[in-house]
Amino acid sequence: MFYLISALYLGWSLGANDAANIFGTAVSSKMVRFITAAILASLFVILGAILEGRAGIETIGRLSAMDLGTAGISSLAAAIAVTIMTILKLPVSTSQAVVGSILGVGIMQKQAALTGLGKIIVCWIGTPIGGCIFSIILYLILARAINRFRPSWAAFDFIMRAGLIITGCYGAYALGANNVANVTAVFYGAGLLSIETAALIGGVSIALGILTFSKGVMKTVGRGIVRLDAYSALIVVLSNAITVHIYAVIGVPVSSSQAVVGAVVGIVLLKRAEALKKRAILGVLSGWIATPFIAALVSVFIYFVTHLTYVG
Amino acid sequence: MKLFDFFLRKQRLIEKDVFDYLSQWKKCLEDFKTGMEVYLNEGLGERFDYYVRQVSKTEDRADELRRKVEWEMYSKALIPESRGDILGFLETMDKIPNKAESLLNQIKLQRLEFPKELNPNLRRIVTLSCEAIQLVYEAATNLMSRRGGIHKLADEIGVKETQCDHAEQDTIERIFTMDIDKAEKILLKEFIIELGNLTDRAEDVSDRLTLLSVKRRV
Repeated sequence: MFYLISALYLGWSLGANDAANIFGTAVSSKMVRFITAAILASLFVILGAILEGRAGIETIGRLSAMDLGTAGISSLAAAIAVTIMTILKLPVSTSQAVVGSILGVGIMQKQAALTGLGKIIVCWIGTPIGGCIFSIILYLILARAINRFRPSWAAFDFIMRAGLIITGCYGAYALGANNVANVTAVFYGAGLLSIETAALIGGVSIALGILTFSKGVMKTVGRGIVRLDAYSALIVVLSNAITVHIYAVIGVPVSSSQAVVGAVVGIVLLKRAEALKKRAILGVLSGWIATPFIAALVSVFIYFVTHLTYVG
Repeated sequence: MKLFDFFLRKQRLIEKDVFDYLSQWKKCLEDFKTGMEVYLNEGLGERFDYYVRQVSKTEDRADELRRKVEWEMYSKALIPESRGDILGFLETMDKIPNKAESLLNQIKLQRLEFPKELNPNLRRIVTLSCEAIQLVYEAATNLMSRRGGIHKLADEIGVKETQCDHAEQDTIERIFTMDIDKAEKILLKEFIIELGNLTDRAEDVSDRLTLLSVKRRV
């Protein structure tokens, strides 16, 4: 069970960080109380992990044949990489950290399964692009519907508020389904856990992160999104949820933060293309490159250190 | 639909209070119009005093309703950007009945008496102001019920404001060609400027409503 601690830490930090992408807007603007959002997000994360986490767990589990020790190393390396990136205030993707650390360990063991890597990289590139495309399409379709029915001010506000809660729940479900593999898939690969147990433990650890430590991040990150009007914020959350959910079905864990950035870029392109900030694009690119690279280096280092032998 | 209404009850309550405020606002300005007609037809007297009191009462009632809406806003029934928007728009709206009340009081307290030959000018300014105010009311209700047409109404309010400015300048010019005491001329001029401010305020509200209608367009 000792090996699982690093995985639980990873799940906890994932929950603490990524819940902001889902309920940040609603909580930071005080439309929903933090406790309500945290309970809803936790429930739906666990539900998503249990009902639809299988595909991702299988994909990551197959990346490298590991024993319990190396699974623990890769999990710890991913957690350290996420922490380093967070301290450096760089955009971080837990999914990419996990894949990078697995590959680092795989390289040291000379048994990295690179065949599945192509699919994963294509999905990483597709995440912000998917978020962007969905946000443009959804924005136009829903705007047409709203402009057709012309709800009164009060009805419009109700639709926005309810919409943010419902899409938040859906986003949490998709996050659980997609990202649970990051937390416990290596232990499924190492034979320590069954898929069902891996999904449950992973889901619960993410939920604990949301319940115990996501408040601050929600309030900070949420303010970044809430600068959009309520309708745009709703579209961003929904696009993020759909994108992440699709990759959960395909079975590739992706970054919900990158899906959100993609969705925001979509809205900006629709409204004011000149306001598109290069920094947002560079943030996604640096996340793509730096996260798996740092995670792989950390796992290589830990693997190296733990396999040093004294030659007297 | 009943289920939808159940969930919407808090928002509906605020919506109802905003519409109540708007009708009280309208009533206050109708009383102002009648009060001014009484003044122009009969001069100072009992009937005019009655309307001064009436405008004061309806203005107080409108203030109460506005404060009620402000209080309810904090029950978090509306999304935050709506709260700010509605509060800002009600505050700008509120300046019109305040001005109307102060105009009638000015007539009553200063015992203002316009020479009879200025009546057509005064009547024209009052009519233009009240027409602009009626258009503001329509624009405000359209905004709340998302009926649209706010830009068109704003254009009409702009036209009324310009016409009122011209009428105001003509009247002031006439006052200073009349054979009356200089101090009286200044008092009358001040009143005409204050009266003209009504359409300026109507235009301020209309600018705000136009901005809000653009902001809330998806």
